Amino acid sequence: MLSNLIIRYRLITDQLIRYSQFLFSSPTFAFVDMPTTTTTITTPKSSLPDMSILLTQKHRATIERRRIRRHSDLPMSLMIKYGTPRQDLHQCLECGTWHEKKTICGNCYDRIRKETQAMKDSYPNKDEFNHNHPQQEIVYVYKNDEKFHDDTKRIVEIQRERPTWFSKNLIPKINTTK
Amino acid sequence: MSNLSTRTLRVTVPHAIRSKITGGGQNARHEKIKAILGELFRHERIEGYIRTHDETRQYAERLIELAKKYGDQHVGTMQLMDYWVNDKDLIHKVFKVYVPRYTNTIGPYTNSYRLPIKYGEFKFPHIPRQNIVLEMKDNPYPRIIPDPRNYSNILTNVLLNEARKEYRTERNNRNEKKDK
Repeated sequence: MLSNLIIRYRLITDQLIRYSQFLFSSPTFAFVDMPTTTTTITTPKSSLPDMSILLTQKHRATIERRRIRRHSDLPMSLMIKYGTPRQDLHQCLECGTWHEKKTICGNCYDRIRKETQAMKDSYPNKDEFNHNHPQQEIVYVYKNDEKFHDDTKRIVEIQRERPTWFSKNLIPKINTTK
Repeated sequence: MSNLSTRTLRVTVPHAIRSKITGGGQNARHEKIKAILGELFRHERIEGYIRTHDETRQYAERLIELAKKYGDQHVGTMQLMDYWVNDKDLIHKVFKVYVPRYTNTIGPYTNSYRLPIKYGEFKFPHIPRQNIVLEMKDNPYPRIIPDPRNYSNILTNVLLNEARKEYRTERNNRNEKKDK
């Protein structure tokens, strides 16, 4: 560790001294008499040691270890790692697409996301929504719904018919939280 | 401030280290949480990274819990509201919309669901990036979890119901005979 640092430091200093010989006659650094604007010392990138050496492996793995990685049934083996089928996938009951365990179905959620975005866009005054938010419950009324008047609620009308999958009763009867 | 006390939170506390959620120290973390809180209170349904959004969920629960208990005449709650909510029109919304909406509910006031992971789109392929949906309960938007189905007309359920009825009638007849 320490020897590596010393070698790197020595390399850089050698390069600096070599380049300074073109500018100044003596190898010492003379910063006092240097002109301010015309010449500046810049070391090119090739003079620095290549840093990608640090990322490579230091020691060659033995043939025993390589064969274990290829052919054994331990979890470190590549065949076990990439060759076993996944057991944590579920099928959606609504549409039949596959999704991971713990997550919701992406195909069904796409539909809901588009509908929520359309409902947000149908709000008439966007400046009011973003800066002076209404202090009432917002109710979205579709075209084929029953119209009602309530002063305590903000009613927003949508010029479309209610989708068939979007039920009117938003409060669930059964506790369906996961 | 120390006198404020509520019940324990009814949400899962995330395992991630809090100081490492955002770079830039405590101030940057607080600003991030404030931004997400304002977004949540305004739009009522947002998507984002699981670490930051699950962290802000606790703050939203705590603020509504305090608002329910102490009201808007209390000094400590209003100081907390002033600190955590950047847009001041949302403080009115908390007291006028959320508190009457959640008077009868006991449990958590928010829902969070995990979105499917999109493999191949994030920067580091070996670290999958999990996003979630955060929403306030009883919002006007369509429900994320689909409506509960009616399974009573499936053949197995019909047969089981008939078998149950037969068993009950036989048992009643047996008991009547014993009484005589």
